[in-house]
Amino acid sequence: MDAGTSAAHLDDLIARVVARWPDHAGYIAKSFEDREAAVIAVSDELARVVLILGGGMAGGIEGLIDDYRFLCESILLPEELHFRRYGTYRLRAFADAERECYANAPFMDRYMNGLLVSNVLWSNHAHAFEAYVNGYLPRLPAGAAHLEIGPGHGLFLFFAARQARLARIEGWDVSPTSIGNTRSALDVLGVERPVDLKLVNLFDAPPAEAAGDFDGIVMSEILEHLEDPVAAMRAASRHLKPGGHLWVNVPANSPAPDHIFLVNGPEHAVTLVKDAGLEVVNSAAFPMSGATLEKATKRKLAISCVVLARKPSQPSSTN
Amino acid sequence: MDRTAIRAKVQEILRDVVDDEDVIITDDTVAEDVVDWDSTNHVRLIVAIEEEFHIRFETDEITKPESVGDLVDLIQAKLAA
Repeated sequence: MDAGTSAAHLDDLIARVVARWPDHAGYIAKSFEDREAAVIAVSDELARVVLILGGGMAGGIEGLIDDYRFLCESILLPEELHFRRYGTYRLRAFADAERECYANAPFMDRYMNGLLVSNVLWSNHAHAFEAYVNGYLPRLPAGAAHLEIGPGHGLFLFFAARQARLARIEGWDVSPTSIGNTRSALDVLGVERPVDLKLVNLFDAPPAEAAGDFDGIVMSEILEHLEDPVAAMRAASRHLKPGGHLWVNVPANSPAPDHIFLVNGPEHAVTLVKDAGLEVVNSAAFPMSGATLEKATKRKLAISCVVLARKPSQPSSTN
Repeated sequence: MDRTAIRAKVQEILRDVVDDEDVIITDDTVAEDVVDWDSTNHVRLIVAIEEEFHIRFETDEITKPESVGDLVDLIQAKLAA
């Protein structure tokens, strides 16, 4: 970052990435061209967290950076090629993603490590994260109960855990391995307040209260992994109190080995949320590094689509 | 098809991919020389070349060419195969 800005952790992480992968410097420069101060501030904090997590890994920060490079060059490239040739994601069924990816622990470790770094270095990921920190979390009322479905690397829960006014924080996942990874990350980051991580299948879980018992639910980069994202959001909304918020972050045109549901743009993301019977409060679209939204839309490039929705106080007639 | 004709066609395709009609390439041109020739646009370029020349690249061939000259050589080899 420019001298005078307070982004020491970001500078440190970027310097380490460029030292390890010099050819990535140009991409990083483009990725930071359009980040305003609020996004830089969140990215800097994310960089601090990534450096701590990387430092605790077997391969250290350098190993983490190698995994990030592996993600960019080896994991995503064949998927991008398929997407550009055929206009579809390579896989369509959850069972195929399970077989090819989720059941392959060494692969998943490298994949998840790469994505961890992407939260800082990819413009769309960084902007979506800032929207969560500064747009979603402050909306939760004092004493709120917050749930994240599929907390993965644990970064979103880490930021939620720093909100002292939240009374209850939970994370649900169907994978014991994922739950273990999230717990490990929160422990390494020194989160001391209770964060209840549960092995829960969203589709099977009855709400604790008939009317739902969470003030806010987050589904970040979850829907594209599911065959029926609308059904997943409907299931999630059963756990929301009336008037509670669902914050969705779903990538459009973003081929990956475990992405099976293709969202074709921001409007599609909004439509999916509405189809789940939720009221859209606001939405935002963050194009991939180096692209304007207009260019990303025209070229079908990756766009992170963020939708903040509310559970109606009265059930929708179409629900 | 000779190398000059292939390179001219690649230039035409690249101009379309990066939305820049002023792009001029030589055998020595590398991706870093062209604004917007990033990894995603490189894949778009490769797929457009496949369609134009009716050839197919293997996945490991996509990032192999280090310059336009290498890419032209690769296309020419595939056309001759």
